[in-house]
Amino acid sequence: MEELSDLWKLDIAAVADVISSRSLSPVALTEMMLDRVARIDPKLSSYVTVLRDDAIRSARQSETEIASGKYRGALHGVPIAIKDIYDIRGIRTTACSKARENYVPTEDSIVVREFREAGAVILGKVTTHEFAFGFDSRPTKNAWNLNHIPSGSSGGSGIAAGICFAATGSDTGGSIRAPAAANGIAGIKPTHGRVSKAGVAVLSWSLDHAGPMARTVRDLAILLGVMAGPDPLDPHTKDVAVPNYLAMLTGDIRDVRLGIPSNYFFDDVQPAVEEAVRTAIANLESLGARTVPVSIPDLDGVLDCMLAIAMSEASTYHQQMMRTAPELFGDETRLLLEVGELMLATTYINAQRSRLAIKNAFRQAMRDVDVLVTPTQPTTALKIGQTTSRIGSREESVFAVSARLCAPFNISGLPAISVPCGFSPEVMPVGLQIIGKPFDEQTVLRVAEAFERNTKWHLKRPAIAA
Amino acid sequence: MRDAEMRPDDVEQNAKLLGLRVAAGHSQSIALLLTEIRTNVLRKASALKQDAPLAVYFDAR
Repeated sequence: MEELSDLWKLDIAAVADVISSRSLSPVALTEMMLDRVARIDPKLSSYVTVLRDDAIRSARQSETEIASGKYRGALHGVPIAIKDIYDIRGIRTTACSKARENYVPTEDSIVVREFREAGAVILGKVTTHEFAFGFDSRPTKNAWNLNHIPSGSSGGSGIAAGICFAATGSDTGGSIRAPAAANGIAGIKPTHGRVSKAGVAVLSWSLDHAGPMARTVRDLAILLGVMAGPDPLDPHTKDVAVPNYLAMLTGDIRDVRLGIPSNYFFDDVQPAVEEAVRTAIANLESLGARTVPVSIPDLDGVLDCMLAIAMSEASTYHQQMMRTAPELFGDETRLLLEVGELMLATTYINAQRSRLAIKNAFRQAMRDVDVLVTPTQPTTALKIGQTTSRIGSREESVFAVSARLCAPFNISGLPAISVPCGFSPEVMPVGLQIIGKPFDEQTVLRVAEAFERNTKWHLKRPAIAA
Repeated sequence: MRDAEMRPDDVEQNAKLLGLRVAAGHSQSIALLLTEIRTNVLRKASALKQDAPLAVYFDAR
């Protein structure tokens, strides 16, 4: 076994091996991780609330259970973090907003409850862009370069810096995948309806997705296995059987047909990003997967449809607060909520009607392929304070550039993963996005894990983690 | 098809009707964003058949 102080480098699957064999105490592991949080997080600003006493208590309980032969599975005794929009009973859940700074839930969100039942140790709450409505996740910084944003809205995971083994995320227009790409980690937005959102602050009822972020695809398979399934408290969830995702990671993708979009997804992408993604596609081909060019019609205006829906639904959720104390929202969030308030009902309905056309366009495009492969983001992480991005002649807002390649899969509801696939010349991570058919997360994970087995990008660590 | 362009005055008038306090300096940005989003969504929807259904996630079970 490695030195205790080096265990942060392992993924959950490896840590679980040493915990289950009783070679490692969950208490020692949790203390080690809390010490790392205390040492590293002042530079990164990932944690909103550190639950030191609760975490140690939970780790002690895990240790006792495991010692008495009651091992619950791969998450038992493993320290993880929770995005600050997931309710934890008795713990302030602020959504990183003054509008909610005193909110203390009386119940756990369903996902938190599932993680507790699986024996995970909750280290604390980590930052989100205010109410998950944006991509810079202030005040958190990018683990690879403190002058850059971590992206968002699930930007505070701290996984790249090794200050937790995994975190929960939420994704309305790319908020799991964009920060995964920006920080060189893995994150999956499952199919809409795969994971319960009960007890998670709403941004947009019909576009929000809950999902996990971690260092490896194997870890995502473990985490999603715990999170997935129908929930009577969340009417969006569907009663679709949850497979054993871990057992599906065979490394064999010789039967897989990769759809490579010939339109939209490689338009106006940074050269270093395109090069890394094309190299990754060649890598997947070398493993026996077959590439098929695909064209996806009807994507013009997809971002505006996403914005019309997200802004209208978010404004509805916050309508009362916008009447009584709008000054409690940050300026940027308030602007988006004001736009939503003034959106016409017909615009919202037309966006929802267009959504079905977009979903059908993907269904048609994926008729003869198993997954699509694209870049996760058109660019590597932007600098702090940057308000626009320019790629070639295209200048767009941080919001637009961050959502452009991700949001089509919030609109269509399809499962999509981001895994690290390279670095820019400035040593900023690049993400590879793999998209599957509805409720076929297992194929998405299988392809991503095969890529991971054959590359070492997921093993790279930023200097801040040392 | 194109929606009428929103102006800051329109934003302020509509906000007043709704009892919404728009932050100082936001009216111009709101007008631009609304015009752009409404126009692009309308253009996209105009390609749909008139009876194209509304996608909602309501389940009557």
